[in-house]
Amino acid sequence: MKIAVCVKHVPVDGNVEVDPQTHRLIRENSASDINPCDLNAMELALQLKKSAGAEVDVFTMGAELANSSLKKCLALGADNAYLISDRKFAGSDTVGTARVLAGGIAKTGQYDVIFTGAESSDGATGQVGPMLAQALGMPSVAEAMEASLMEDGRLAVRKKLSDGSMRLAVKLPCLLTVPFGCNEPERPTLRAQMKANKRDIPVLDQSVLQLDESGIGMDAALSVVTSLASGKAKKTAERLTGTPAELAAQLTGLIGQRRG
Amino acid sequence: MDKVKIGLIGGGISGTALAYYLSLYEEAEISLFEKDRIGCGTTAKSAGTVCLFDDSLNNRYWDVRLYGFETYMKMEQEKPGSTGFDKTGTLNCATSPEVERRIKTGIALTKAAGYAGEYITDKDRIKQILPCINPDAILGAGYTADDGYFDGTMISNNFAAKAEANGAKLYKGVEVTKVVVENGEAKALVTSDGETRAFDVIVDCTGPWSRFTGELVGLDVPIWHTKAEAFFLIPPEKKLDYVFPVLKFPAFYALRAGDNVFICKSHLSMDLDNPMHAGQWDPDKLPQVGGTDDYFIEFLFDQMDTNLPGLADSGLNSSWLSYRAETRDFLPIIGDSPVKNYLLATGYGGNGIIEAPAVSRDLAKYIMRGESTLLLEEWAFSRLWKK
Repeated sequence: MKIAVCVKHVPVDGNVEVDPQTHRLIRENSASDINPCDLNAMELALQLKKSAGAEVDVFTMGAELANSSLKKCLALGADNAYLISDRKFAGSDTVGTARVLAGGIAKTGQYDVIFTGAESSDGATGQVGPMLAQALGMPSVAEAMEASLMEDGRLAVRKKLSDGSMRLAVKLPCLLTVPFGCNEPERPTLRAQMKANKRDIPVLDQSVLQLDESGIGMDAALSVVTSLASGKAKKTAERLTGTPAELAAQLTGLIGQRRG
Repeated sequence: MDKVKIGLIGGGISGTALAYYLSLYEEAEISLFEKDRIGCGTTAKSAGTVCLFDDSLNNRYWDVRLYGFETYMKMEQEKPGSTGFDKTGTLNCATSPEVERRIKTGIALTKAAGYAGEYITDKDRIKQILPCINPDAILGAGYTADDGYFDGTMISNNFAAKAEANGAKLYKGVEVTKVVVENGEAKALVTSDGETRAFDVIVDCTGPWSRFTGELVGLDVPIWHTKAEAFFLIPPEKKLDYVFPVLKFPAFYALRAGDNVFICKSHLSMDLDNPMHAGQWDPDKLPQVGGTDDYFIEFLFDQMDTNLPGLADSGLNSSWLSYRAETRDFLPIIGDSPVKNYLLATGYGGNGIIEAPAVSRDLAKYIMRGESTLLLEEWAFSRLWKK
């Protein structure tokens, strides 16, 4: 079995700046890390690798600094990692991004299961996973929380619903998007991270992928961000003092107030 | 009675401790300006270890260490839980005869002050204290069960509250934007709230920001930023089932953080001429988490593999980066500057929590009475002019 996991390198602190002209994030100036629910996707992929026996390849589309997320995935147990990167890919909207990812994945092999996070913490569209499935011509299941290989070769999937869950049997190949918090991702060990940091990450650029440029990049984007506004942080913290019993009473009162 | 108007810039451990000690003089009229929240900058990222003996501060200044420790212990007694004190004890590892001698001196000084301290060479006993250690990698270890680590932010807030109770004014969320200097003499502070306030004495307590604060008076404050790269490790067994002591090696130190282990490179191992270690950066651009360098993982793994093999396969939970403000001799800059009435209490490096109480006590006396001390003389700015 071959598994692909798509991850995104996202800003993780408050120093995010936005280009006033393009409204795109200036990623170089902020600390970045792997998108939180992509870690859940990675965990699910590694669980499937363990139970079914598989090779796990990780892909990300972005600039060179996204390599640190790929190296984290290698440290977690991925077998190979690929950086999909070219100036011509920059500015792609979700459709363009899905096309580029599909090109990268198709270039490296035939995959039985593809995992993505359900949405990114910076864009939060939740569109790229299903669009990638469309681009690769395979079925997708959104918000998959569990996945295991059945004896008949199909994948048993438990999908999250708003008030419960649903079990599905899905033919391979397929794509699963994974929601945040559905499992507890392992952390890379020091030893594994050190080894991963020494790995060279192959770059899949346009000269390798030979994608149709009319469907990717900023010029091909069907939607563009026209403005961004940040919410204002409210400093509403309140210090409670008193004996443990008094504190408990105050907390109970506050919870009651919030609940109305 | 004439009041002495004092303006303090910075509300970390340096500024708040000084505000408190100044507030003990009834003629001091203190205003402290903190552009964010009290103790939220470098102080918040300090490990807060105030050990009775270790190599973070030369034994020459052991009384400074003791005064800091006892100040916080009294603070803790006044209001239990208010300093974040975690009495884990300290295991201080000797990797060479020179380090061993220094540790033994520290133990003697510790015992002289009435605290417990012992030098251990029995490998089983060392492993009893810290099961994940490789006792064969060290000559021995100094141990005391009497100390541990504190929370720098909580201590700063305690000092701030005590100063405020004594009449000091704290301006939180107010940034100093200009220092008015006339004829080589600092006269007033202009702040982001649009006010201009006159002062008799102004003290820069801004630590890693001192380069920028100094520029407001045309002063080149000779501090370098060194990287304090801290990692939180999840032990292989997930939970610590023993009291992980503050652990000191010459190259790094560690302490428990809940069920995780906090590890950071020691400040004295920083090379100010190595751009991986030191430089001039902007502390305002530091991310809250992350920002650490890959090389540090390798360093950390080598250290763990050699000295703490039980942690070499720990999980990496999270990391952060902060900047220490270091001088060339790794000692702070305290007291007068070339600008009249503009004083410095900065450059504590990794030792602000340890040193601030004794320094602030002495500096407050100097500001209010003009009486210097041996400590102030040794840590004066003038020592760096000569070099």
